[in-house]
Amino acid sequence: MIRFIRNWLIGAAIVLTLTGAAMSYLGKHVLRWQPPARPPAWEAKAAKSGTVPVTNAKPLKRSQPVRIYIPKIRVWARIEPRGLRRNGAVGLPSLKTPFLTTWFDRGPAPGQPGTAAIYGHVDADKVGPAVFYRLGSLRRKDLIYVTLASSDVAIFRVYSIAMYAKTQFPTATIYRYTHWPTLRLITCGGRFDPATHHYLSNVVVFASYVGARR
Amino acid sequence: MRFVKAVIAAACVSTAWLAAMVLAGPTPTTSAAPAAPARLAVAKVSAEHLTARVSPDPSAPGTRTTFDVYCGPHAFSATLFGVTLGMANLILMHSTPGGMSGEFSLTVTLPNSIAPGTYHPSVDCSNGAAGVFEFSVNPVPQQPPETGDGATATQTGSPLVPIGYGLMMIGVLAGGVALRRRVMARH
Repeated sequence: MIRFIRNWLIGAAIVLTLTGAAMSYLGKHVLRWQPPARPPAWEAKAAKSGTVPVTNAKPLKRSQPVRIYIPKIRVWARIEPRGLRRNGAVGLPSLKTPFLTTWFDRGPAPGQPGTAAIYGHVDADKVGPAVFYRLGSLRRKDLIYVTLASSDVAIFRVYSIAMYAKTQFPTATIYRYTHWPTLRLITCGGRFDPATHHYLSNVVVFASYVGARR
Repeated sequence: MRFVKAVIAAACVSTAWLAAMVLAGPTPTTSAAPAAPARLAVAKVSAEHLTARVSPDPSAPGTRTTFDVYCGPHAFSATLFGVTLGMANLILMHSTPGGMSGEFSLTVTLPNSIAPGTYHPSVDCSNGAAGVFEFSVNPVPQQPPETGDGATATQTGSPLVPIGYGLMMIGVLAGGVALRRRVMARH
């Protein structure tokens, strides 16, 4: 009986040690999170053609956006206005506030004719996935709600989603004026370059205004 | 007597002709002098009626922007001075299809290099009217945003690591106990 227990203990010790070693190895070498989702190439067609879906809803007057809600990817975040930095890049939230988004306040506001742009981080140290981590999972017809300071909630419907290499970032396609109110949600994506500590691409969601509610 | 009748008849005819001349007013050939003020009047009216509009306003670099002008009647062309926008100096505007006479339009793509600010490009009409458009160019981000530090693409060390270490410790302890029992059993 004692021999049985002893043998059982030795067997269990070997199994536990080997399993523990394997788990530690895997844990150290496997990424902690899944890489950010990449939108399929076919979702970019509408953005390339430049056609914007239009409804008969009444565009809104300019009002600062304060909150964004995207049910599909469970985003409910605060929006802060930012302008341009000296190098021509848009002001972004600090990586210390990875669940904050920013609106480019030198352009149109959401719901106004033109192209409004909202930015958010895809990930950040310590927290991992950030506010727009799942942006690449959005698909056409998904809804986006932007609450304005005027208490109006501008509702947008996604009509395209694309990923662009940063070296060929199509500024004109993304920020082109649209006579109908449109919205762009922008974050990073694609491959990460450990040498430069930057993602090599941007994920851009194109959405069109469908109406507002109080 | 016959001579007196002839004189009276001639006097009547000349009086009637003079009266007709006075009533008819100046002939086309004699109206050359007052024509100049008339033409000036047309130009003045056009200048008063010149309306210029830019859409969208504010615009942005790389944006297709439409310039609409109404020069007033009697204008058959209009020219936009595009040099302030970083474009050709003289750009002929087109008659607005289906629009009123004197309406002209031009759609151009603003250069990507245009600086943000307020612009006042001039417009000249063929009827002498002239004016300026006024519109703003908003800046557009020229750099792709850097939104992320690669945490999800680089960070390893899932919860498997502490669990694995725990299992290894338990295994070592179990092995130690087993070996100790074996040694004790020998004694």
